[in-house]
Amino acid sequence: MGDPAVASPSASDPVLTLPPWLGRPSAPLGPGTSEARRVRLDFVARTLVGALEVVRRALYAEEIARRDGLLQRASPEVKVLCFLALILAASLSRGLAPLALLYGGCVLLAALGRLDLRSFLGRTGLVVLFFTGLIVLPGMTSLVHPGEPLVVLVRFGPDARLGPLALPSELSLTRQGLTGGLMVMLRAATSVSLVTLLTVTTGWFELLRGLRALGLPAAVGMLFTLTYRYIFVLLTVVQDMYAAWQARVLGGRAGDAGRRLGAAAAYALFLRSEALAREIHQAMLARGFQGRVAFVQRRRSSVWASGALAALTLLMLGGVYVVR
Amino acid sequence: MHIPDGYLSPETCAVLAAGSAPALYVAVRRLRQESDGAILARLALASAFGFVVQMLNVPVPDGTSAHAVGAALAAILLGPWGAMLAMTVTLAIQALFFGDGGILALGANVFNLGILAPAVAYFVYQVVAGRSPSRTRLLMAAALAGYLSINAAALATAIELGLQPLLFRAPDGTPLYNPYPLNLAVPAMMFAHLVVAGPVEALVTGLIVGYVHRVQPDLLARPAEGKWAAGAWLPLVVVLGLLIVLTPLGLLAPGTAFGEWAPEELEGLIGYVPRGLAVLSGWWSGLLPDYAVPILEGVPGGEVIGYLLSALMGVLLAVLVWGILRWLLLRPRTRS
Repeated sequence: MGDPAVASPSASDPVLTLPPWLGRPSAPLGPGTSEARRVRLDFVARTLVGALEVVRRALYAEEIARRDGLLQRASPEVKVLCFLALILAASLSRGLAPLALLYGGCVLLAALGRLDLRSFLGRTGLVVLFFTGLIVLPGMTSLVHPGEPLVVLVRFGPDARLGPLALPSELSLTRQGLTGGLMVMLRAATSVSLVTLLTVTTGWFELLRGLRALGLPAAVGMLFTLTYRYIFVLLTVVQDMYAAWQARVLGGRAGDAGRRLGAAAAYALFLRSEALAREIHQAMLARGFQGRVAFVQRRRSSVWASGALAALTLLMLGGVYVVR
Repeated sequence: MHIPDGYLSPETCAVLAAGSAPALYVAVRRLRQESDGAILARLALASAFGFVVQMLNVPVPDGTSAHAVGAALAAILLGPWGAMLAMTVTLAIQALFFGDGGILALGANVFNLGILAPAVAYFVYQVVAGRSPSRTRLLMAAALAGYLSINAAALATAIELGLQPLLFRAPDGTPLYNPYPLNLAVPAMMFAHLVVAGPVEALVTGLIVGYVHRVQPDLLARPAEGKWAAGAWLPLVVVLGLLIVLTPLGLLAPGTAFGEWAPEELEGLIGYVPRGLAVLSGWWSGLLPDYAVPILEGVPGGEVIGYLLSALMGVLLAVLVWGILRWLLLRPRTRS
């Protein structure tokens, strides 16, 4: 007896064929495709994308933190101390040379942390330099900081006015404005790079151990631990809520209906957080929690890696002092 | 509004962190008294809620969607002290684990968004809602609390940024941190917040508080218990508001008020400048000299706006100084 599924249709059977539009493969909707860019995300999708982005960033950091680089092997206490010293040095640096040196050091540290250098330079370097540059660009001109003109951008001539506003005779890029603007750009890029390096190469538990060594009270460390953990629980609550809503409701997302949903979601989230707080407290009581918190070591740190990082940091700080 | 590292000097960050510390200390003590040992779990979940609620988008009237900063919402749902601590932990986690906002600038961000915004929100909510508010009045109170709290935080941020080029410059005039002085930083920051971010915060806060009020009103902070009742505050607020609005009347008066002469005017009147006055007159110049906003020079009505802004800043400073003195002198002392 033949398999009915593969039996060829006889002439009397109706032939089932797919309409051509259904058989066409759908266009991919990944980021960067023109299709995705044309789609305007509604508030539900934007919330879901935002929640996923937080999870993605946390997973990315965990993945980098597990790699076998010098930064990952250094002890969290030494790492937190070194990075704080470098961030402070960037903040106190008042010249372009020390800031450039610190940024160069960041790139070296990124290589030692086994980060993808192209992505690191793009995300923390170019993006920050570009956006900070946009912000400080008007501040580089004589409009904000009169000083020695380097390049004359526009000549308005004497007694020029724009409506009620009197215009200066010329608008130029000043040496003081340019130096100040470049300093802010470099300092921002260096600080963001240092914070990124610290946060992605250190698991959050290790980071807390490092902060504890710097004097963070144990109760605050526990508070951070609980908060960090339950951020993801509440994000899951939001994802479930909005995904369920997306699956059940057709239309009605715009205007008042959407606003009601947003308000209801916040209310439900608040109730859930209150209920979870009660459950956690009961669980703590049930397990005999008496306020003592210990942070166990999850990863064995290497002495030579800690020493190498400390030496590199001292070298960078010494360099900053010399070229200041 | 999270200030990243690089725009503020470390000195400014340190001062603002020190300024936040007393409020956080009081908040921890208050909550420890109120929460019967469950403070850790409650605070952690409140902070997690504060983090996640910032991601909830709500449709706004221009067809897009937006989210709130949540300081006012936290103050109304958790009370002022709970909101301060929850916002502070949220900001710390954003900076430490997600790289949002600077690590050195954390003190400044905590001061603006973690202390000032919830305090302003709670105060405004209590004053406007009154003792037994109608639903409309409660929603107005929540929306106004959202609007004013985010604008207060924005004003503080703008002042901190705007002070940088005044306080931190190289000898050749190169600005070392944020390059925009107060007369540019304040209008730029405030325009965006008064016109866009403020209304969004007001709408989202009002919506959520309205929903909670309909389904479970007991969750909201009890409005106007005792000393913060609107009955006591409203006349003062109205009188102060009227006085602020009337300040430009000073422009109608010719000449200078008796005893308020500048050194050069005095020289014209009596023929010389007393030595003490000549020495001391230059050591301090106000943030808004002669009640004028430099950027508004030549703009029609600029003088009037300068007077109004000066009056508003003066009142806010007076209230701040009064509040600090009152707290220092009249705080209850517990004897162990």
